[in-house]
Amino acid sequence: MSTFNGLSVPSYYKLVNGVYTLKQEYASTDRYWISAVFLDSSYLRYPSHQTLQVIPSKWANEVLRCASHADFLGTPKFDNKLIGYSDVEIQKIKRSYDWMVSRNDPQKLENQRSNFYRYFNAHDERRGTDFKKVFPELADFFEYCKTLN
Amino acid sequence: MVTNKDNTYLFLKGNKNKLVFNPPEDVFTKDFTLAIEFKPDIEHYTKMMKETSFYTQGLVCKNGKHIGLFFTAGTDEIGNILLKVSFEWWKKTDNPEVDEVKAIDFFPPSDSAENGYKVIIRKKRNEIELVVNGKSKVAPIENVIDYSYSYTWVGCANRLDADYQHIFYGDISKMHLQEGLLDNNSCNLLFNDYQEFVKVHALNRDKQVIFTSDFSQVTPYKVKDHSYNNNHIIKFSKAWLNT
Repeated sequence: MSTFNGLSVPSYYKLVNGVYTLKQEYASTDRYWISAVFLDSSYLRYPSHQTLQVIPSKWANEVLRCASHADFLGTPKFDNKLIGYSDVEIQKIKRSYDWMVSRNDPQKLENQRSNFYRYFNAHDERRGTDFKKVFPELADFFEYCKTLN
Repeated sequence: MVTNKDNTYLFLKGNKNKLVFNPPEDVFTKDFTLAIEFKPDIEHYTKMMKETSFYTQGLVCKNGKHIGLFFTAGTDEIGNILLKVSFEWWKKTDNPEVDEVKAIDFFPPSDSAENGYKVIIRKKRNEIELVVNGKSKVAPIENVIDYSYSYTWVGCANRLDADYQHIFYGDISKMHLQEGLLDNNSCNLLFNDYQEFVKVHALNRDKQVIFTSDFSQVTPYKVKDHSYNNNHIIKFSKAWLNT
C-alpha cells in the first residue's frame, strides 16, 4: 500500500520502476499469482495540507507520467501468469492524477498551502530536519507557501 | 527493433486505462504524417523472392482492405531486382459493392536496402506525399474507405488471419505518427536527433500525436511511446489477445 501525497510526486516514477524490478526478480510460479508485490496507490485526502492537490499543477504531468510508465510496464491481460502492472495498479495511479487536477476552490487551496509551510516548518524546527534539503524539487514551492503566511 | 513473425505490434483498441488522448482509429482518413526509419532484412527477402515474384511486407498498416506503408521486393521480366516503397489504400467508387485499390509508389535503387530508408508519408486534404530518403512524390487521394474498425499494426499488415499478414522482416528504428502535418525539417529531426524531436514535437500537446518511439524501451509485451499520448503499442500474441 502506498499513500500518494504531495511529497510522493518527485520520486514516484522511481518507485514504479523499483516495484517492477521486484515483480520480475521475485516472480514465482509457486504462487497462483506469479507476482510477489503489488503497488496499491491510494491518494491522501487528510491532512488536506499534504495532498496532491496542494502542490503546483505543473507536477500533474509527472503523476500522469507515472501512470503512463506503469501502463508501459503493465501486462497486456489480467492474467495470473503474466509479470507486470495490472490494470488495477495502473488505474489507481491514473485516478490520483484525475483527483489532483480536479481541485476547484482557490481560497481553500491557499489556506492549505499556507498550512503546508507552517506544518513542515514546525517539523523542521522540532525534529531538526531540513525540508528543502530532503525535497529540493519542492524548495521553491516551500518558499512560495512561506509568503502566504 | 527487429520485427519478424514472432515480433509484431498493434495499437490496442479501447483505451482501457484512459491514458490515451489521440487514438489511431481514423488516422489515415484524416490529414496525417507518418515518419519512419527502417532497414529490411535483405537475406530474408532474397530468399522469399525465390518463392514469389513480388514479396510484400507491411510496416505500418491497417487490416481489412489494407491501407498503409509497404516495402516490396521482386524481379522484373529480365530478372533485375526491383524494390518498391509504397503507400496503399482502397478508394470508394460510385458502386457501393466495388472499391478500388490505389497506391503511391517509389522505386529506390536495388542496392539501397543496405543503408535503410527514411520515409515520410504526408496526407493533406486530397493529396498524399511520399518522401523516400529525401526524394518526394505526390499523388491524389480521396474517398478513402472507412478503416475506423480496423486495427493499426506495426511490423505487419494483419495477424488476425492467416492470409495477407505481410510480416516485415527487418529493423524499424524510429517512428512517429500524428494527425495533421509535420514538415520535412521536423521529420528530419526525428531521424537525426531523436531526443530533441521528442522534446519539441512528441511532447507538444498542441499537436495530435499518436505515437513516437525509437524502440529503445521494450518489455516482453510492449514498446514505449515517448509522446505525451501514452499509447504503448502491444506485442501480438495469441497468448493474450483473443483472436
